[in-house]
Amino acid sequence: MEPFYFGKNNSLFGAFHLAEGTPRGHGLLIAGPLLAEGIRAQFALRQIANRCAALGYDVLRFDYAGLGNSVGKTCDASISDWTENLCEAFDELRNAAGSKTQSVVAVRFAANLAVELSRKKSIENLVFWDPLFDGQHWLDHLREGQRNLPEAWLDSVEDIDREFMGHFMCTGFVDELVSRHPATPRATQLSAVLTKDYKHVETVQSVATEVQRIDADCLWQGIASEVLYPVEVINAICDRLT
Amino acid sequence: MRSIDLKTTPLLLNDAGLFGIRTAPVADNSALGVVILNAGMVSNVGPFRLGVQLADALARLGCTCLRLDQSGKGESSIRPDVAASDAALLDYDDAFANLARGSIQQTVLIGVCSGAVDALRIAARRDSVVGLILLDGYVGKTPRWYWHRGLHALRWVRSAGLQGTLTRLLERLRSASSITKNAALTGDLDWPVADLPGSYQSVLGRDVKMLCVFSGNYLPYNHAGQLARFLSIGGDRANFREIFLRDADHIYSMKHHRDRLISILSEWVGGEFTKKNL
Repeated sequence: MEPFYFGKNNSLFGAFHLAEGTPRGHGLLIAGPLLAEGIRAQFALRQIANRCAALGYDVLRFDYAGLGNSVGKTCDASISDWTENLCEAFDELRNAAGSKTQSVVAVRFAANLAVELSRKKSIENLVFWDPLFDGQHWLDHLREGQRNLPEAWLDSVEDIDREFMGHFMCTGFVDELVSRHPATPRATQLSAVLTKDYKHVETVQSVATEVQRIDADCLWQGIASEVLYPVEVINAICDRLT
Repeated sequence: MRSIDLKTTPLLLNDAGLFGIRTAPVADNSALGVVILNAGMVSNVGPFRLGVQLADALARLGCTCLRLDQSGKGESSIRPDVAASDAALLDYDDAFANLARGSIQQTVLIGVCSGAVDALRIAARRDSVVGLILLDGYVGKTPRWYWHRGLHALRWVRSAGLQGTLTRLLERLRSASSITKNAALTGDLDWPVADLPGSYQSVLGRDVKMLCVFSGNYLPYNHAGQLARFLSIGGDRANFREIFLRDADHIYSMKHHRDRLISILSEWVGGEFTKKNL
């Protein structure tokens, strides 16, 4: 894995996994989830990247602006910034790997961003993991998580409308989020891997041509220090890609 | 806080792919390095980006900070055939070797939860560590701990009533997964700890400056001054400070708790490690 910064002002953190063995000339971009979900999924996404690189794919993982190891504060970033970041990462992978074709794995709300990407760029294989295509669905999820926190913590929050499960967001975050509706993605192959408690199956079925249900827990609303590592999901995603 | 431009650099610290992120002032000539270890299995970013925010705040004081992904965590590969406790020490050596290529000869180590245990063990074995910040680190149970625990249980039974208490106890027995979840939340994990009291004494005896911060829902700790009592040291000891942030949780989930923690840590580093180090 080669870590580097790219994008505007070299502000986005990237982890590039060079293809091993015989390169396929095919790039894989991993669009991880956002906020606390992204931190918890990092380990699993790294495993997917390692496995795909071992099979000859050039793989790029990255952190969105204001998240993970990228530069900036979370409260300064917007959803349109993150959409742009995804496009930058797609182009960066093509430049770094010289790949002829590219696929994308999009997790949770990154699915919404990836759909927009798919309408601008050519994607071979688009795989969703527990996707949230609708901004309102993600907002509901964030608010549900917030409600589960102890009241005493919430009493002293300086701006309850801007803090979501520990992350302090920009002023227009909610408005921007609810304006994000599902759209039809474009890719040669479209599939989704869903875990046991995933709620929006019908939406996914209307978007993806293949939907695989995995009988595994994936507690997206779990504790922020609990790393997610659903082996069955990782296997299923790798199978779909390779 | 002074406005200082920072430079952030991702690093591979050895041939096996040990990963860290260095954050330092653009004009980096500091003599003090700060190494931040992982909080449990979470990457160097930390829960809610605590690691990132902390590194930025301390770099603005003039420190060179290295957020380290210990072997097998975050972006780093496992060290094959090396025990976890030895791996932590070797990881620190690789991190320090990188820092020491500049003007840095001394470090402050920061650890949360299991990272605090690693930090304590490393500090006991490496003279380059001159400061130690332990967030919900190891602490033994004292008679006063049992007293507070008993009072808490009594208060709970009084408010819940007999039926509520029985229901709660049954729920706990039924759900093994919730017990695991509670352990992850509160850090009440089953670590081998026999060496840790000795490590505290060794570090304090070497005059390493130590700040220990405990949160409100960390089960092994339930009253201010518990660690000092456990170690039988006076609260006025010059190189030891203990703080109880009763309202905060183990992973500083809320922004105002994180802000307060970062402010406390920045003040302490700024105060203890004066301009001669920075």
